[in-house]
Amino acid sequence: MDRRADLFVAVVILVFSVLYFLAATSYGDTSREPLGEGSLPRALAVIMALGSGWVIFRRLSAWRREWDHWVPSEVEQDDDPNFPVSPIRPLLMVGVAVGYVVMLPAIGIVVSTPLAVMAGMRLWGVREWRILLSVAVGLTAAIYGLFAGFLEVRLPLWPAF
Amino acid sequence: MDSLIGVAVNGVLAAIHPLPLALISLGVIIGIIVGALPGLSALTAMAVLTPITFGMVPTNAVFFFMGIIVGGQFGNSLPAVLIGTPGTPASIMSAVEGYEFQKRGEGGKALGLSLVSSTVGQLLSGIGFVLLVIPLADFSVQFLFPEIFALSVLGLTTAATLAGRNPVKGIVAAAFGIALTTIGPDPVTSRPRFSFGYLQLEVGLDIVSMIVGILVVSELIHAARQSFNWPAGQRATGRILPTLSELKKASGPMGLGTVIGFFIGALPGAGASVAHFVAYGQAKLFSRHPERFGKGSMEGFVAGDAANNASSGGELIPTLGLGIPGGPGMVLVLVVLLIHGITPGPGLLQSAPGVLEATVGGLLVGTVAMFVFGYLSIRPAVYLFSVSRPAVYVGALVISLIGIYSLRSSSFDVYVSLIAGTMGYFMRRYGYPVAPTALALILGGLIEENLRRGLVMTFGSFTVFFTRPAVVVILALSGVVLLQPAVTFYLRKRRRTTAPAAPHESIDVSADHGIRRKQR
Repeated sequence: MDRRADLFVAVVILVFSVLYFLAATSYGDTSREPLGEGSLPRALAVIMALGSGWVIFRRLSAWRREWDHWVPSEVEQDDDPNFPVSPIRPLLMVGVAVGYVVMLPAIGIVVSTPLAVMAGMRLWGVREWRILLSVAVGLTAAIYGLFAGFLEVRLPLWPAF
Repeated sequence: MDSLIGVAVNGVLAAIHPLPLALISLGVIIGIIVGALPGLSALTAMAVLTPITFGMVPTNAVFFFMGIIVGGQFGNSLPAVLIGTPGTPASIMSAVEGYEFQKRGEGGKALGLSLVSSTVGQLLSGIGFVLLVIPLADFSVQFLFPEIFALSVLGLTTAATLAGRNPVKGIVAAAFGIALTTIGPDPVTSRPRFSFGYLQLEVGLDIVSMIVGILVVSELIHAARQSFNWPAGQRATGRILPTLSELKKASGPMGLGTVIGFFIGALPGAGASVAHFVAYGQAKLFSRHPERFGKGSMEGFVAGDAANNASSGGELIPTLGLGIPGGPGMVLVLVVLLIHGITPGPGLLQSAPGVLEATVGGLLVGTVAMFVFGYLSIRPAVYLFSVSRPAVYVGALVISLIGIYSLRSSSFDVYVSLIAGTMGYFMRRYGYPVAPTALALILGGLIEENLRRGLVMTFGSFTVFFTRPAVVVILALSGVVLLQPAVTFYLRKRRRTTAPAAPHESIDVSADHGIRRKQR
């Protein structure tokens, strides 16, 4: 784990805590109860600030002792260390998911789902068109059967136009 | 006691008639299938199928729902073990431990262990319900706001210190989760907080969307970092049911998890999530190999799983004994009973003994049905989830998003889920565990409401937290859990400074996996 990134994230959390605390001060104790609306948020802000402050303190105090920016990892490990990692692909997957949610009410699940599945699988490196189409169509049929058929959930099925 | 044992016997005899047995079996199958789908849970199936039960006699409706609840408990284990996505916070640590089994090609074995611990947990909790419903119902009445607050704190501190490698970051993650629950109407005054003028924030963020986002969507996004397919060997399951020696090793943590799950499940407001983490934490405390926890520990896996399942029987106690739902699933059980004109409570045994019989019979017979159908589902599930990694993860993401959308037909909920998922992804990348955040999303509202109402009850006096015995014991346990990592770290440091020098080590810096130490 890059200690600079860890430090940056801790600073972001510290800033968030301060802003959250400031927003919580606007909820005065106007009700007739001991704690009031703003007490717990303020306490939470203090906890987050202390925690992130501790992380910042530990990183800075060990900065000179550590000879490299890479420090023992606290992060969740990847599935298999033998395969390369792409830090961009997850963000692209989020983009595909957002696109799917935008498309869904407009063009329905029957059109948007196969498109999203194929886009997602292409991102994962699947190139064979037959596999892409068969998974996309099969998954769409399964989702339609489960949600619209069995669970009788009202979903937009077809394009609205 | 004799009448309750008679209730249990009558319940089982009633459950093995053709129609009730068919309804229980159908419920179990639905529960397993829906529970196995990422982003969905048995609760979804129950909510959607509630109208179908209106045409049934009350006992058959109860048989059906008990089947779904029992089946869903095992169904949640399938995605937890096979792709590391827990369906609910009550199976987070099962996912952490179980997925390590799957990575070693032992997914079938893990599911077999889960099946056995689920069966044992459910059966023992069903028997526990029969034997202890009256005394525990009396005891749980004494669990007031301060006790529920203390229990929630215990669950959160356990999750914060056990999940992840840095307890301080775990506490920050838990606090952040509670902070998210403060968006929306205040639990006491109902005035909106942190809405900044947006109507959708004034009503609060949907908790289910956020939980699915932070647990499921974040894992699915995280998995996209690597694009590879699982080896063909992963599709083979080998032996499913554990051997006798494995059962012997598992019996201790399984028993511990069952007891903890049952008693915590019996307390209103606690539920399976708290029971799961507390059981996991206690199993680690008593384990001879605590260093294996988080890396595919069988003890941690079965303890958490047994607690999750045993809590079903425990949750029935306040639900039927007091008319207070013991967990989210029990809310729907109560709804069905009330619609049929049955009021759960202390007089249920006299007023509607058939319902009590159906509950116990449904739980016990449903557990046997869960074992049978669960066993049959393991090999197909392992094969299906192992055929193509891209297809499984992309499909799981799409199903999760549709599942969220289907709750309230709201795109906003899906966006909330995606934002929570993206935040969860970055939390995982920088060492902030998502488990305490997810648990905090469930408990955050309870913590604040019970704390503030408790203080109103005591006219603002905090002495209730030092004078009520149960509160003192639970908060003391929370303190032990919170301080344990620091004490362990200090003791280990002392041992290292007094131990003889280790062989010469070299350091290999890996670009993505931190520092690896190699011994020459």
